[in-house]
Amino acid sequence: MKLDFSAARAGQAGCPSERTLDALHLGALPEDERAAAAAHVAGCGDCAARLAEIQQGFQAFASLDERAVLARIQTRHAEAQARRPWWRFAWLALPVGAAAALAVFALRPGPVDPVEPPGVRAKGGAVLRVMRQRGEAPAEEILSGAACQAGDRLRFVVDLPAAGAVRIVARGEGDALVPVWPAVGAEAMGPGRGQVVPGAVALDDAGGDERLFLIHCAGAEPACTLAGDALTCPSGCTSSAFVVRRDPAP
Amino acid sequence: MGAFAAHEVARLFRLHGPQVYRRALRLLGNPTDAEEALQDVFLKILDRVDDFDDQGKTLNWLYRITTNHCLNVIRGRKRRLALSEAFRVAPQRADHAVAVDQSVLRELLGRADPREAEAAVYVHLDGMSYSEAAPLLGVSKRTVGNLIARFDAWAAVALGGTS
Repeated sequence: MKLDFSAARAGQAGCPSERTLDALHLGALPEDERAAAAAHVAGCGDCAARLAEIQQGFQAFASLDERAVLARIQTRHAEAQARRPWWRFAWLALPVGAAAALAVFALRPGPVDPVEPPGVRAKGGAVLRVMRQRGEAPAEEILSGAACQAGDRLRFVVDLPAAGAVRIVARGEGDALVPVWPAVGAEAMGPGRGQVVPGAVALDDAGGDERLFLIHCAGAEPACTLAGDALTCPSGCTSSAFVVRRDPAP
Repeated sequence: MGAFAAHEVARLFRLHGPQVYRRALRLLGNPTDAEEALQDVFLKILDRVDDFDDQGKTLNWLYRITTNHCLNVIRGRKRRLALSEAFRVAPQRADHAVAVDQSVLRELLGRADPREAEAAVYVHLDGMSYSEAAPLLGVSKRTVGNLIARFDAWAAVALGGTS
């Protein structure tokens, strides 16, 4: 017994495949193949209709609500990201000195702030300050608990009472501490106010608030543990907490 | 790929979503399953979007990931549901040609060897030449021919004929 698959295939025998028409639409065919496919389509009503349907995109499918599908994908993507907490922030830029970083993220913490910084701190301890840039608007310093939206870029500024090892971490699932900066370990920094942490992070749409901690340890490893909202660090360390509240985009 | 801004997800969705949906609809045969496949495949795309390079390779990658996802869905149906016997045909003479439409081909794809099934999708459903299917399968043109020959022989037996 012989099988005839012509009733199952796209187009007629001798017509371009679905992939060829997709590639023609995307401009992804080599010139000779593009010319041959275009010539065929020009003389074949069936293939002209197939290509026209491809060119319509989602409009070709009246029963599909593309916005609803996209919303479900974004929700599922956000849920998947939330289950992988070290992906909740996308580290955007490398050292501040990089021209590209400066061009894209023109965040300016400005001169050292004479006003008491807004972060929560113990007297004499380290302070985490957060600058927010939304769209093309100028960067502004925000208070702990301020509302942010997915896509906002956040940059960190630290006040340090002494030289020491510095980390910025976020609370992950199950009270895990997730590195925000640096990606691994800790960074040695000197004392001083208004020190800009290189790079920036983009807030994703994972949902929920983000609780950040600056950990500063002079002469000790910044190996802290979290239980609820309470951060416990070795002697010689101080910390500063900062809450970023996620608001839905308007 | 890490956290993706919502607008970037939307951009990729509008760029590649229609290809994935059209393909899933063709392979699965109904809008509900195709929409579910669109979501599932797109999440895989977001996880591996760093693999995208030029348009041609991206298209091949989309074809493969969508094809294999849909073949898995079809195989899952086979496990969940009692096998349909309706598609079987009466025994035919060796030289008699039996037309295989899309619904019958789907039944066959769910039961065939996975490698042969993928080749059959590209050649019998999409209408690709062996040369066009070869890079998607990562094999030579001759091997594509061998996969198709094996699929066709197996399908003839599965449909009630003899090889």
